[in-house]
Amino acid sequence: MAAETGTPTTLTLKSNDDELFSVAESAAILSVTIRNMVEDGCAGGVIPLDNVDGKTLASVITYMNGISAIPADEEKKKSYRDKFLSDKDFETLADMVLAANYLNMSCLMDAVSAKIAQVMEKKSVGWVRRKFGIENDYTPEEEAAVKEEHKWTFEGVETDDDN
Amino acid sequence: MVKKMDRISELPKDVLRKILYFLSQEEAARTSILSKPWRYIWCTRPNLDFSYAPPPREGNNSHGGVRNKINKDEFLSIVDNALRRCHDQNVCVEEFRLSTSLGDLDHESVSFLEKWAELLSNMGTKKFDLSLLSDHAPGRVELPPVVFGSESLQRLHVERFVLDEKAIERLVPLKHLKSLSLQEIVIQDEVVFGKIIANCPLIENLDVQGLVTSNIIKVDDLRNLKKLKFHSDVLRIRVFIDAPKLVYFEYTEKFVPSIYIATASEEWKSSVNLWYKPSNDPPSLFFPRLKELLESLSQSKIYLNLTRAMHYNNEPYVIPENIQNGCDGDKYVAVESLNFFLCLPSFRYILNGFFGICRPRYVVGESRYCGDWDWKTGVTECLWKILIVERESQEEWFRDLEEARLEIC
Repeated sequence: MAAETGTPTTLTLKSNDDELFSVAESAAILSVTIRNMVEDGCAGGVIPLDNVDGKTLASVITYMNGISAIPADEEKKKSYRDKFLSDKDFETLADMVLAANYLNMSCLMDAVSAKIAQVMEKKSVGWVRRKFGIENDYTPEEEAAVKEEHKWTFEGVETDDDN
Repeated sequence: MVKKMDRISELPKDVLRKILYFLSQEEAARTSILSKPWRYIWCTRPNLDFSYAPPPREGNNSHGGVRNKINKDEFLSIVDNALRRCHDQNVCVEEFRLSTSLGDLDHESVSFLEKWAELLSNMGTKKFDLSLLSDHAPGRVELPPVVFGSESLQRLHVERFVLDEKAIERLVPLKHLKSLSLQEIVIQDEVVFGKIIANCPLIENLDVQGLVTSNIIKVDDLRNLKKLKFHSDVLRIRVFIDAPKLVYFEYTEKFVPSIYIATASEEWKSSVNLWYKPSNDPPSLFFPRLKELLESLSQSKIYLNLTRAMHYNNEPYVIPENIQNGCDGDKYVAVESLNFFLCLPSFRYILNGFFGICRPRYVVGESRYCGDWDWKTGVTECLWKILIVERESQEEWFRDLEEARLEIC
């Protein structure tokens, strides 16, 4: 983002639980959704973001400000993202990924998705089910059939037959 | 706050696809075992990566080691199911990697390839990486026309196929193709090769290894070409290259070729690896030819490797005394490094030969007979003589020498 001279334009964002946030336009337009609104001239007053709650929006704005303050240096941006996400639990990550999806912020979307994928990496099916509370709705026969069909994915992985 | 159960499964499909994007193909596919909602999500993730390693060929273990848990038919149907799902759900596969093999008259694989190439093209995929390996020895299986008819290709690697007129009868402009690797191929003629090149306008990497029955190769108008590797078996081959952005050129073979490169790059490297064979380049012509080659590459940083001892049938071959005839006056091509295989009896002549045509910054001699003390002593003695004893009656090149270091280990 090129630093603008004079007073930077500020936008006001409103979460779905009616919290208001001020954010520099140069940071906010990381969201393609917001950028389109700005370009269409709809950003005069308050921009309502109906799918994002205040807690998540605060976090997203922290990210917007943080990442846009870093000059075009992919390494530094990556390490900022890593640090930013390092202490977030899954609930928060799920909120963030939904917000990023809604706001059309590909860099945050990618970073959070990668972070969630990292949790699943190299884990057994049983572990992932427990970790995310995924209910196994297959019958034992169905599950055996799906496993058989995907035996090619178990190359070098210990089969887990836990429940 | 009450923890919602199974939040992850409730995420929109697009988000789940994105999450699976960051997993390996196997891990992504394994999520189908989690529960019913996860059953087919992996099939429509933005990147699909299918790889089938053919069973080792008879008498050839080089491809052994990797064994598939599934047979070819199962493999084909897994790929087909995933792509059909993408098509049915109107999801674009952004990156599609396929690595498989083709047998002789393998109509089933070919008809699947036809179908997939069309699906990818219809969904607008721009990153189709295809690696095809013939199950048979080079020169036996013809490359099916569908390959060069797949406009989605981003990277293409074909190995051990025949490339003839038929292989390119459906050739389309491959405007996404960045990397083309043709390994151990038999190309019918330069017309076929020329047509392929003319349809890969934005290619960045080109790696050709194989037989071309013509001895003129033209690589024209490749405005994005950065790396070019060329391995050819053709005697006295002449290569014409016009590539403004070239940064790396590599040539490997048993003959000294004629190469003409036009590039606007200010800094580029060329690596010439010759498997020296006196029957191909007669001793009296080897150095003059090499000199011509080095001169045509003189705008680049040249790395010159001679990967065979300069002797034949264990007979040391003596480079003629008139080797300097290859040199016109005081012009010597600068070479970054010269790496050659040492052979004691002709060592001194070879050194003279190289210094008669170029000025390497570094010279490295190699020998496979490392444990051979007689040999080491021989080389050391020889160098000692050149550098110290005969200082007065030195060779001409000696005057240009800035530093000589002799390491004996």
